Amino acid sequence: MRSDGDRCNIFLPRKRHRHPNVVSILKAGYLLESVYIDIEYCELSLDEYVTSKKTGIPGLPDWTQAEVQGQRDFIVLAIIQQVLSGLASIHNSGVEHGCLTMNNGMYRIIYL
Amino acid sequence: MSDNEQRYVPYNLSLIQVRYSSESRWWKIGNSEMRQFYGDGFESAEGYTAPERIDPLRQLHAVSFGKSDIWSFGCILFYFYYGIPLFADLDEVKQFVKLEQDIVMEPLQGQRENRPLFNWINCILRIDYESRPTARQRGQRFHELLAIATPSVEESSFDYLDSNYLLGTDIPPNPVCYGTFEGLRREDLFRPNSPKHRLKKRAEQVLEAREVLLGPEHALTVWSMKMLAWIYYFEGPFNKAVMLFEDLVTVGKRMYGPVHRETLASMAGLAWTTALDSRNSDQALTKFEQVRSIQEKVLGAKHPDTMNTAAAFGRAILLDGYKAFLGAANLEKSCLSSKFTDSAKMTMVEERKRGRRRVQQGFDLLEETYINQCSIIGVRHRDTAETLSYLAWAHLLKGNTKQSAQLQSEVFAIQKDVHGMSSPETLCTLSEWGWRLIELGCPEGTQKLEEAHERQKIVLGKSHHHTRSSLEGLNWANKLYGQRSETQES
Repeated sequence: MRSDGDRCNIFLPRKRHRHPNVVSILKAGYLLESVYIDIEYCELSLDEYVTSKKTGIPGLPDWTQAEVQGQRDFIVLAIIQQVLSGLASIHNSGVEHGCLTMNNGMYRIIYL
Repeated sequence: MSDNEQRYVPYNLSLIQVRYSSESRWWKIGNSEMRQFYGDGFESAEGYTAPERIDPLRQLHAVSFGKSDIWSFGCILFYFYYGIPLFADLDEVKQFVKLEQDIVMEPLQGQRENRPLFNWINCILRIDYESRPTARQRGQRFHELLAIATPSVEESSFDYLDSNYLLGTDIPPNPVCYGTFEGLRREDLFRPNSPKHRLKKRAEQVLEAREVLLGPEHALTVWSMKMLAWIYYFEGPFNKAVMLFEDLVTVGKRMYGPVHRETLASMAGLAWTTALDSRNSDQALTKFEQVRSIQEKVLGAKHPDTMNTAAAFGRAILLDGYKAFLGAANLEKSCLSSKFTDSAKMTMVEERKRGRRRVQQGFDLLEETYINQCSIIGVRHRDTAETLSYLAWAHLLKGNTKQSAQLQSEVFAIQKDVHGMSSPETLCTLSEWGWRLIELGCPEGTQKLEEAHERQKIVLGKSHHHTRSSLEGLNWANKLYGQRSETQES
């Protein structure tokens, strides 16, 4: 979004960005005085995952459990790969993330 | 110290080698204006923002599309390895970190050094955004590291990692587990000029990548070695399979111990590959003896692994007997020449005796194993069917062709249910059944061979040795019954 006087112009991609590692923006607009952006639901951030704030996600080995089972290296590689994949995809579409952090990423499929 | 902190690797700046300089600029981490605008919600971006995004002077000149995202990605990697954010432990003032050179990550004390991976990471946290790679470049290099060739990073092939593994499966089920092999059918392993060559190449690449990234003594690396060893066994070169099995035994002994199930399975694989080498029959049988005795002690006589080894052992003994028969037959051929002496005749007799003894030994062992397998894993199991097919071969070597044909028909019925009609094993059994029927003088054998040959041409290809074998049988049958029918007509 860009500040343009009293009103915000919302710049969105022309078509919905489809990539397994990128959160799609479904809709955006104005609601009363506010701006809203409707995006795909992300149940878990990368930070929550690696700090074990959220555990027991179906189909996803817990971070600590993965260490015990010797899967940690493998999972880190998966995360690296998926983050890079998502980044390369959005960059290819001419979009820059600008705020990539642990709180903006979700494991299993990393969303940016 | 909180629970979360206890799980992390201790943070030590001297190890991480972040350089500070009193003369350098103060780098402001985070954008205060944006934080004021967006409130606390933006604070999470602190520590992840690229230098060129913080320094107003650089911002003016920066044409670094996507490069700042890569810096943030490097910060995430830093967090993963050291357990805390790059600029953690810094108060409000110290957040203005001065950097005089690129951030270099080094392995922590006591951690395994993985130089190629660290070289890959250390290109990312470069202050100069122009020399910093893009996501695409890093992604492609990542794939080179993993030895996975991908034409474009945004393709779904980028997600090569095995979902089954990530979903918590302990051991990937087969060589196609690593995702790179997805789409390849089991039949592809046997088909010439097919994706099996790609499979072998990729299996080699995955092993190499896992050795680099995970180290040679990692469970997944060992798994890749095992898969590649079996692919070499099927595809050749055979000597590489033997070498890999030898390595597997060595690594398995070191990693798991000499009597672990995995180590013993590798030893059994080595024994079997050795048995196929005609020069090392005795050595292979000794190895089988060792593995089997250990498995009986450790796993029990009726453990599936022990039974599989026993079946392979029985097959190796049969093979030795078969070689003895072949040797005797060759000597008999030389009987026609003048060089045939009494000693050669004695040798021929001895070889035949040895062959019969070996065949009987193998038969006994296979029969015992078959009974055990029937009671433990059931009659309609692929391993049981395989043992039964060896028994059919043993009957053939003993001269009981009728019994052999009967058993082949049973094996065919089981394999048809278990593997399906187009499976290479089922078709091979059908072909063998056809051979036996023709040997018994049954014309139905021709139909079996015809059916097997037609399907093998599709599934395995014309040049596969199974296909050629069924064609040979078909030609023989046509010649035989063609002659007979001509005689009857005349």
